[in-house]
Amino acid sequence: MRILVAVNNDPYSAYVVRQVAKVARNTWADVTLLCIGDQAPPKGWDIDTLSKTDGSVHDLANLLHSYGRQFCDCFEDADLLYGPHASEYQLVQGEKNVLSLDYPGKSGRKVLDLRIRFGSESKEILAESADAGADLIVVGCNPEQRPGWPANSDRPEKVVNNAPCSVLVIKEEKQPQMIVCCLDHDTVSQASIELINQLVTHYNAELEIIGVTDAHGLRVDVDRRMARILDYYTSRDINAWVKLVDRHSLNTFISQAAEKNLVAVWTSKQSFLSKIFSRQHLEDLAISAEASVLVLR
Amino acid sequence: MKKALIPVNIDLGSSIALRYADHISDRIQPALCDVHVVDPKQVGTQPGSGWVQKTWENALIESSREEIRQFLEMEQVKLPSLKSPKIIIGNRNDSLLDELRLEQYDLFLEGVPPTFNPSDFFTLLNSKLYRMMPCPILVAKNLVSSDTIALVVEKESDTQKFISCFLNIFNAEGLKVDLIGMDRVKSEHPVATLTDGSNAQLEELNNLLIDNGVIPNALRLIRGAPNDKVADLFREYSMVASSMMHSPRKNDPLLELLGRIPSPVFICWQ
Repeated sequence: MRILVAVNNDPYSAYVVRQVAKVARNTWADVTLLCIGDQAPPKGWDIDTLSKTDGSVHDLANLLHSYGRQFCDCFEDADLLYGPHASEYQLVQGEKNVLSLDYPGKSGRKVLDLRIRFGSESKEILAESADAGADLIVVGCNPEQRPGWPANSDRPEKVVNNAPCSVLVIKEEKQPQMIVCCLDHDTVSQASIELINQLVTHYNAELEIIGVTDAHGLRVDVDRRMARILDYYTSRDINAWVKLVDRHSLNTFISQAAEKNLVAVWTSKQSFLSKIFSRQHLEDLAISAEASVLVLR
Repeated sequence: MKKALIPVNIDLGSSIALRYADHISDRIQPALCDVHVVDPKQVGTQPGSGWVQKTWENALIESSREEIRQFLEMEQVKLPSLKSPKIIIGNRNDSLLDELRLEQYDLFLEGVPPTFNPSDFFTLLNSKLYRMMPCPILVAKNLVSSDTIALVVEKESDTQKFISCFLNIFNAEGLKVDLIGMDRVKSEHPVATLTDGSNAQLEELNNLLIDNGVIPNALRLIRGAPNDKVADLFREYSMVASSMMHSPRKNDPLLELLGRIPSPVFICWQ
């Protein structure tokens, strides 16, 4: 599993990094911490000239270095697992518009990449997720800045809508008591079930599995899939509840559930939920939900 | 011998019911039996009459028996009494009612996943099957691992009849119960609350249980009209037991509460 975490200079990012570290501790995930610089470096730039002319790059690098250390502080054996990240780093120029923090010493069993990109936040997050082959993108949101994100930021909506993988929008420092999963149960992937499993463990929360019904009730294949998912979680001693929601009431239900619970919505192309749950609704949910939102793909 | 009937289909509700039955099997007095009803109208047009019809029905029973056997195997049903269900052909409601009356079952246990719309519970209780139900019902909405039961009474509840019915089904020995009264449900309380407290009816219920060797853990009161927030507090209970009239009114606060509660619900008819 590879997790991409978008961070910025908002102190809330530190909270997001710690949350991801806890999930990574259980999953042994490879992790990329990504910072976006808003001003693109001059044409034909290289690391030496940039270091001399642009102090903001070093500010970003120091910020990223600090988040990297905070991430490693959550592990007892961080050096063994992710390699040393406490020492002095070196800025290394990668492909176009990308810088990496490089640490001397033996690499760990898993990967912790610290990277800086320049340009539009959402565009660069999506580009990095594609380059890294991320399974999950995590973006934070400072509750004090809600409903808006950092000024002029289009990050959450575009990332949520256009990411090829799952996206977790972390909203509040309050622990969700319940993870409400609206899954398209006939096509649900094992990876997404495992991800929910990890979040349930991480938050020590209960789980509610929502089956969406239509005029004919619950589809037979969905019914059977829900029973198997219920079996999967209960056999792992996870308190899993089921509930049926009529497709016409789904938006109301999710809006209510998102006030206090982490809502997970499945939106793959094969999913009938993606037909019920439009891109606009998904954007609204990511922005307006009181609690964290997980968009599963 | 006391008996409980579980209707089985190949669906989520039955999965929940079977697992829940296994979970409570050591606390329940009646022996658990299952039945699968095949409604010929759901399968297709009935061919001919006489031996042609009989042969078709026999084939239908055999294929259903095999499907249900595979389902029970997949569900890893442990209780031997549930491994070979009776297969009946006919209209579901009528067949189940006939079976309940003929075999004089003491409990009807059905798996029904809860819905977002609490009025669906009203529709369930007002279905022909439940309106004419000759015995108490246990609606398994979810699997709950807790072992404490909530006994809920309202102003009009006949506590003596309720406790007698409840203890007829459940072993008093080792029973962990909380008693919950519904107080001033239509009063000025805009937000419903569930807090420690008691009233005359709860005291009566408490004394009746003590007389039967059951010491309740807590006495609590719901104030205000039941809502989802209060109903969610019942997630800690493995079952919520209460009593009500057949065909309750849609605006009955007790029905509203039981409809919203995600835990299994046991109802004795008054």
